[in-house]
Amino acid sequence: MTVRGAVPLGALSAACGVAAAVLLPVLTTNQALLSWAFLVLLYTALAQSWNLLGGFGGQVNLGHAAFFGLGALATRMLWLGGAPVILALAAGTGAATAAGIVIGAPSLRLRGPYFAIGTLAIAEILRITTGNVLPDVSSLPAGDLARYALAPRYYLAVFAAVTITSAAWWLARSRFGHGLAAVREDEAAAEAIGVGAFRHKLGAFALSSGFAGMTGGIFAYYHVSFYPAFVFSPVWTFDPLVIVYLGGVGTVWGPLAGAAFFVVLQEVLSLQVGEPHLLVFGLLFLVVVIAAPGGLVEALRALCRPGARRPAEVGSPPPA
Amino acid sequence: MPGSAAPLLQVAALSKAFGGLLAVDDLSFTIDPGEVLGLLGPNGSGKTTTFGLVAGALRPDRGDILFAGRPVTRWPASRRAAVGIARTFQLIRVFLSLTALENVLVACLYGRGRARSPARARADACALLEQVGMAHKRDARARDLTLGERRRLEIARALATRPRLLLLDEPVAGLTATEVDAAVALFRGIRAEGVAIALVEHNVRAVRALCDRVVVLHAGRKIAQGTPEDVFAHAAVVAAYLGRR
Amino acid sequence: MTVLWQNVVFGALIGGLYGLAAVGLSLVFGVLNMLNVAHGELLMLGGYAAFWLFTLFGVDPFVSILPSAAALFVVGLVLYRVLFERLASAPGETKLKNSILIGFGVSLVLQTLALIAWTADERAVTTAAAGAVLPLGGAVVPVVRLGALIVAFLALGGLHLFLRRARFGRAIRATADDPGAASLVGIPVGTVFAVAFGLGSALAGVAGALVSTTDAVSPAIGLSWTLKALIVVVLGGVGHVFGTFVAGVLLGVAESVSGFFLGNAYREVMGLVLFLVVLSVRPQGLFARE
Ligand SMILES: Nc1ncnc2c1ncn2[C@@H]1O[C@H](COP(=O)(O)OP(=O)(O)OP(=O)(O)O)[C@@H](O)[C@H]1O
Ligand SMILES: [Mg+2]
Repeated sequence: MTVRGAVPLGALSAACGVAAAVLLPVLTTNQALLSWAFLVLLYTALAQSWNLLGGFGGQVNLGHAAFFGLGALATRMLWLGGAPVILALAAGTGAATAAGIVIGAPSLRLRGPYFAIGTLAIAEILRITTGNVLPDVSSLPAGDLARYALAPRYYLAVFAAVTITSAAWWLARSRFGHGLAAVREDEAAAEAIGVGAFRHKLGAFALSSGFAGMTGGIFAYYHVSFYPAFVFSPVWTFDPLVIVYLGGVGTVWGPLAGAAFFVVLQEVLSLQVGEPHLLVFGLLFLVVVIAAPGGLVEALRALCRPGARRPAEVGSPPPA
Repeated sequence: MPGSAAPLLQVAALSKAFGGLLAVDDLSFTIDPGEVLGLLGPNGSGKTTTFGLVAGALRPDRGDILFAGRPVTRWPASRRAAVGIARTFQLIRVFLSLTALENVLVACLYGRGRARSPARARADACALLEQVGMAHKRDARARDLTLGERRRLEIARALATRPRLLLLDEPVAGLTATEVDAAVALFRGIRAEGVAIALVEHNVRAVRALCDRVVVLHAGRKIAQGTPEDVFAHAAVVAAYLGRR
Repeated sequence: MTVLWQNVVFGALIGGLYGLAAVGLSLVFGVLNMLNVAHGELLMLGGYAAFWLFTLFGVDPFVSILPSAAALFVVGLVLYRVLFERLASAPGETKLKNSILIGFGVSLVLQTLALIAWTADERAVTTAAAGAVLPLGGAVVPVVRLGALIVAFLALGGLHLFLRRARFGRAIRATADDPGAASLVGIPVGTVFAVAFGLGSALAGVAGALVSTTDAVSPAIGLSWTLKALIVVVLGGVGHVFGTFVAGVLLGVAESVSGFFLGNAYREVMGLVLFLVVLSVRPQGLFARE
């Protein structure tokens, strides 16, 4: 017999969290706090989008930056070209989803390490080509700059983080999510019970890349000036990967926990010791991969319920 | 019973080579609805390969497979599972980091019984775990189960697809005598529900207890078929098992 | 025409280094079924070893090859024992995936350590021979680059002989074929794994020392060298020392020829595109048997 009220409690705290996030700009005018919260939400969204395929689907995509970058580039061009930002963002998300399907179909057929390397190669091709075709920095026109406000960017980030986390929540419960977990565990065995491995991986890939594009679009709306090639930089793959593993790979709340930890630690470390915060993240990442594959979420669970068996939840187990 | 209706599975002139090695060579046989067919033969004679071909994990080089009158030779494994072909693996393949319940639940959601509600699927999965004697291990991760438990879990998972034909690849290997008896009783029950079974098994006792008919393979070719009694009396079978052929 | 020819020559020269960088990666992949994506960072460390030996003590990088290889052998051994060894008994897919993740963490750490220790500045070694060139059919061949190519070739020849003739080399090959069988006939598989990883790293050290003579060394060069090595491994197939070398030269030539036709900015893109094409057509590599 499961504890009644356990689910409403979870739903309640999720609702409270969303309400707090939505109210934050009303409650405070502290811009530093708001940009900090924006970054946590942006990283949550990006990390969760990687997690949909990498954590729930078990496919290590090292080319996530490709989709973040496509979404960012398309959104930025349309928006600066005069389109309403919502439309531009939708188009960016759509472009990244389409690219995900086009790129995912052949690359998901690759075996062994070649999926990871192939996706990395695609992202690098896009980065170098973008740098060559669009060498000039993209800056907001003076008029936009004068009208710039953080709040709309912030609300879009809330929207993305909530939407993508909901998608993960759905994956942890739905038929598709159960099928995807089976494929992650053992493709041949999944096929033998009727789960089309390729279709599931491609579906997860499309979701993952579409949401990465959405996050990229918000970044493009947020950032005042950047080089177009920058949105294809490998950091947009590597940061979410580190965040997901720190937080708890294949879990619904891991990306949020990891992103908050990542942003806070980054702030603290860069105040204290300067650049080398990456060293700390690299070492922590290694510790998690080797010794604590559940990440922060698992550690918190163990703290809250010492000795208790974890409830069954699809995707919660880390790929050992 | 054999011959009373159109066969459920028809395998015709099936061949499969790995490099230069003919693992299955011009093999034909049928399985009727509700029948239990034993597939015998020495190590490396092509039994597991035959299962792989029927279940769709392997593509044949030549030959045809008809299931319930439909040619499924070119179908992927998942589609065959959806029309009622289920299997277990010789080297057990459960979903290691999922719980026992989740292992069975996902098969309830897919397979032949797919379109039911998640709540219904959960209830079915619990009932199946009960049926194979695994109800108490419902929330245990598959990686924490013993070999015997994993085997039962794999059978429950195959049953969860609502198969019309169940391919069992050495399902009692490594089990104790009491466990073998329990497994035989379980298979009888499955058969009583009208599910046809193809059984690969070296355990002669289990074969005699379960099979209506057996087919004997040697080096990928069919060398004998008939009732268990007839076949075990057949000199060629004994020779094949002793490797003197 | 001469410019094109010059491009081909330059491409072949740099391609030799690609081949050398790839052979170390390929050795580890072939023997352990692990993909060390920090291979480029190991090469970077080798480059710094040669740079500092030259800057502090005036040691010629062609001499530094030996200490650099030795140092990287030890680094590889330690990395293997501390991080990668625990994967040795995992099933294939898990092993590969986790080795990629661990390698990724290692590359992050090494890159940041290099940044802290040596700053982000690009370093290069300029020896007395730096400007010298030889004529070759209308093109010029920088002596240092030619030297690097020859050393790379010799290093691979040595590796080839070691794997074919030496007792331990044969043990490595047997283990690559079938670890289970190798351990049954008394080969100390655990030691073979560790040594193979060390050897792969030492080859990265040799490559790094050579790279320091011709190209810039900085903390950030790792990813691009890892990618080059991966491309070459896919082109050449796993387990063929000279096939890998030839594939490296081919990649170098393909890059510089496409750079000639499409503009220098696209030379890397061509390599990557070639890689994707080969992956989709022949996932087992251009020169692999079967
Ligand atoms: N994937 C494969 N690649 C290459 N050869 C294979 C492959 N699968 C099976 N074989 C070979 O095909 C032959 C038939 O193998 P199969 O597994 O079908 O035999 P089996 O009758 O199931 O044997 P056992 O009783 O040992 O399970 C064997 O010689 C085996 O080595
Ligand atoms: Mg078999």
